[in-house]
Amino acid sequence: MNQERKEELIVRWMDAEQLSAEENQQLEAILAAEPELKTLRNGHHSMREELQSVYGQPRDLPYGDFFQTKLEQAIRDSELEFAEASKASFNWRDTLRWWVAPVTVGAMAIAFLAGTRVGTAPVEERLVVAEAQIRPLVYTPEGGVTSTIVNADAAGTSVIVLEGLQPIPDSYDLMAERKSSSDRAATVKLLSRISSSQIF
Amino acid sequence: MAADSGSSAGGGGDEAKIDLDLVTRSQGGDSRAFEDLVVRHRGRVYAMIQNMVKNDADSWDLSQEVFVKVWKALPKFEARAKFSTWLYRIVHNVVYDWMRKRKLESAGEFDDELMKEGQVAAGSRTTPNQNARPDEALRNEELRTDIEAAMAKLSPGHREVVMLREIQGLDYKEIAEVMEISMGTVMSRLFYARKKLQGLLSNESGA
Repeated sequence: MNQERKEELIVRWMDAEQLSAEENQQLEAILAAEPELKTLRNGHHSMREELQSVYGQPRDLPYGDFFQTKLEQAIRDSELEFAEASKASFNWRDTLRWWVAPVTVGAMAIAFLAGTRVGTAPVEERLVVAEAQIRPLVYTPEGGVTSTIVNADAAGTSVIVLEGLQPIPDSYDLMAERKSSSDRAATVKLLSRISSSQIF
Repeated sequence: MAADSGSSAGGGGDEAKIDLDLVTRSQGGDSRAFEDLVVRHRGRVYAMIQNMVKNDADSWDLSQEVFVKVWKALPKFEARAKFSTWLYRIVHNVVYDWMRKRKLESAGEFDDELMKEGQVAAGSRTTPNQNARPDEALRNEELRTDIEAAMAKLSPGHREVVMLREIQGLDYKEIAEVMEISMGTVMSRLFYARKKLQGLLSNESGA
């Protein structure tokens, strides 16, 4: 038997409620396991009498007449508030009433048309691919150095022009793909040397 | 004007009939009937609230709030339930709203410190006038003090279920309706509330 059922049986037994034969059997089993419940039941009867003697006696609230007067006033106030609120609400609705119906019908029609168009128009499934334009960026650690990139697509070559560099000494050798700029077959060539710019 | 504001609470057959008659007349716009209805129930409502919030002034104000709500909701009242059950449900809602606002409730329990501050003194003006012998009156006052102290130690849920069952005499189903809980929860709360209250009372009287 679950706890809820057990508590229900005990409470009903304490209140001297009519129990069925099956319930009586269940109760006897409970009482056999917990004989202290009999004491609880006996104590409950006297406790109920005590509670009745304390709280059950006729008594009125303090200042009964003032209570009535104040209650009447409170009811009058609440009715006044309600009437004012209703009046305000009525006026507001009244001003709206003449255009609410056509606007509502129009809105419904627009919503319907929009719904049918959106709902039935075939939507092309296409993948929009944004062409990524790769802009070369040249990082120049020295201040005042500007770079320009010249693409020679036909030749499959790009030329980076750096303006503002110090002259590169002859001893400086550029390497690319394990080849020196002084080699004939080098990918990177020092094309010209100007005082303040180098072209690679 | 009716003057039996503390009479049999649960509302037996006759009581329920009188209530229903007054409700019907109130719904028809008879303000005098509504006044009688308030007078019949205000004592019980106040006692119920006072036992929950443990503060005279707040109980008085909340009782006002209850009857204003009753007035507003009365046109919607249908005689499917007893008026007293419906009324206690309003009391329950008003009290729990108030407790929520005051943040007195923490995980379903009152703040014990606040409860002590708000403890109603035995023999305060809310206690009934008794023309008992001095020794009997003294014993009653002691009993009241003990019971109020023990009740104050119960959680609001347990206290309310004890009030509704043992004092107001509502049946289990009515309690479930008032407190908006299942029947199983009603039985469980009654079981533990009775057990705890007995333990507390035996400690109080033994102390």
